[in-house]
Amino acid sequence: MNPQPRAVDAEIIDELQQLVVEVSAGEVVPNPADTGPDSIRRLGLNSVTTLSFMVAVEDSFGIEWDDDVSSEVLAGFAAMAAYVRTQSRATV
Amino acid sequence: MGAPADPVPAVGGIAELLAAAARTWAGRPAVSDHRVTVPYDELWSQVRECADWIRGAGLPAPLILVPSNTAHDVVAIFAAIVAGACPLIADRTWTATELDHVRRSTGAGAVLGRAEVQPPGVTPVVPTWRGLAIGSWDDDPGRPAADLDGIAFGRFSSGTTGGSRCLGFTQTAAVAAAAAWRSAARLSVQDTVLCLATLNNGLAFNTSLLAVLGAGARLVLHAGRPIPSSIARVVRTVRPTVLVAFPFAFDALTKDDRLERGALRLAVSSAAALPEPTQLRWTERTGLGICDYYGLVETGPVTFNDGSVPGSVGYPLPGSEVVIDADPTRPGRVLVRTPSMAARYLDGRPPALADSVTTEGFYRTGDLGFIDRHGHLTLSGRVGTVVNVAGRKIDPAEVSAVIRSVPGVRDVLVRGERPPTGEILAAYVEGSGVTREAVVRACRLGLADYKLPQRIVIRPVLPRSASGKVAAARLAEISEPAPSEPATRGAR
Repeated sequence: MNPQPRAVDAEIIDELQQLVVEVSAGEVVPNPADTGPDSIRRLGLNSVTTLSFMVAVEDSFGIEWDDDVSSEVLAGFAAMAAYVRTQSRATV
Repeated sequence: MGAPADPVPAVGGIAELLAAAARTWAGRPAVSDHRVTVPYDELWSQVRECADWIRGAGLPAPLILVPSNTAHDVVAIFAAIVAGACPLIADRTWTATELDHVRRSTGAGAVLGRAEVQPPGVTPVVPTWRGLAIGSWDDDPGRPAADLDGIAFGRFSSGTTGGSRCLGFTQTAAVAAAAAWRSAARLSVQDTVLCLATLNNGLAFNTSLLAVLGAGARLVLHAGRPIPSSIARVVRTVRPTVLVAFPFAFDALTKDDRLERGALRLAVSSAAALPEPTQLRWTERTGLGICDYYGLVETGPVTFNDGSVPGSVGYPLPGSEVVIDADPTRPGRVLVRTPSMAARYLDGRPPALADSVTTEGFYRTGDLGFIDRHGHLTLSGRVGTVVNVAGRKIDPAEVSAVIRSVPGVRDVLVRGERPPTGEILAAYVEGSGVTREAVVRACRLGLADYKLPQRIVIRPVLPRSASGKVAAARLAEISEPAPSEPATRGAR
């Protein structure tokens, strides 16, 4: 039986937050409990760090961002985790 | 039908150049984005149609133009110039606060851009044209419009004293800049130029607009993000011969398996120093060097480097001169004279542009550099405080002013720092009860994303010198999280 989306997303969120720490060279450490809408936006990543984060997500999860991915997906960890889960399935 | 290979002559203004290009290359593709391809004759036709639409709005010049990266935005830039509306070409990532600062300093009363991204407080004055809208602000700040005599358009520098500064240019300057770049880059009808930079930025404006269209080449604008997966998709589709991008894109591409040289013959990056390993990897993968573009808003494009001299920004473009204000072989301030210089600042703030120009007409840049015996210029640092983060220049004073507005902040020092990963913006904040979240919130409201400091250190007291100033040299001592505040630097 496949794990429930919520459990999968929690693991993805954890990895996403680790990636933020890595791409910001430890300057930005997300709060594990803050995963809702705008939780990424509130971190204050600049445009270059945001792009580095997107590249790191692609590399870590083996996905490709759609060119028209919504700003909501990029703004919050939970929304991004759900997107990553869906894209991962699509590329399997 | 074979198209003439010769570029259109660099005489007259922008309308003459576009009209000549339409006659010469009629049905050939001029500008493409992810939705449409506009041929040369249609481009000129749309520019005239759009110019009529802008004139029909009946608004006084100047207006703020906020371009996205689409073919219709290219049309809008040229149309606003042709219509005499004096577009001040702004950054689409600017916040409403930054746009408000611009209109108050220049007297601009209207904004032109995609209908869906009109700033708050702006009401459309005419029906939209191909997705573009013109709106005027609901209130009048009362500042008279800048002196626009002879000025065709405005572009923005980062400024050095808090906030962007708007520079006015003549059409002659724009046409001269395009001709110089076209000649140095040897652009021709055979070329397809893929531009990942935004149209307001000098990298795009000077290398990828009139320079491309005056050569009969095809300009492809990229609407996606400049990350390898997205770039690889568009490179496979359009097979560019020239790639124009910021250093981040080159760095990311060289680490990616999907990088293909394809038809590429020239790679142009901005003058943010590319790490040597990135340059080496790029050359290894593609057989090409990276052409480091050196240009300033105040002067237009200055040099051209075909990528064969690593670390250098190359030799002066035709008509441009570069000198060092001391021994040219040792690092000194770079002085520049070009045919594409700005005429003046349009914001009425001191200092005037003329204050930075020598009696011989050389602009005193904020860059340090030296010239080798072959005439190649190498940049070695900066005179002032402006920070260059991945090709985008940021004035620390502007960021400091925003952070000072946060309740509880007593003092702040913003500066560039150079960890191994490349230059970053760091903010050292002195205050009580100040959180990182509050600082980020204020920055997000007042500053474009690229200006957000990535190192934010908040302390009750910052180290100070005997004179009471923040001791910049001692800030490294406090940049690590304090033992009692494990997450001060982070966001917890």
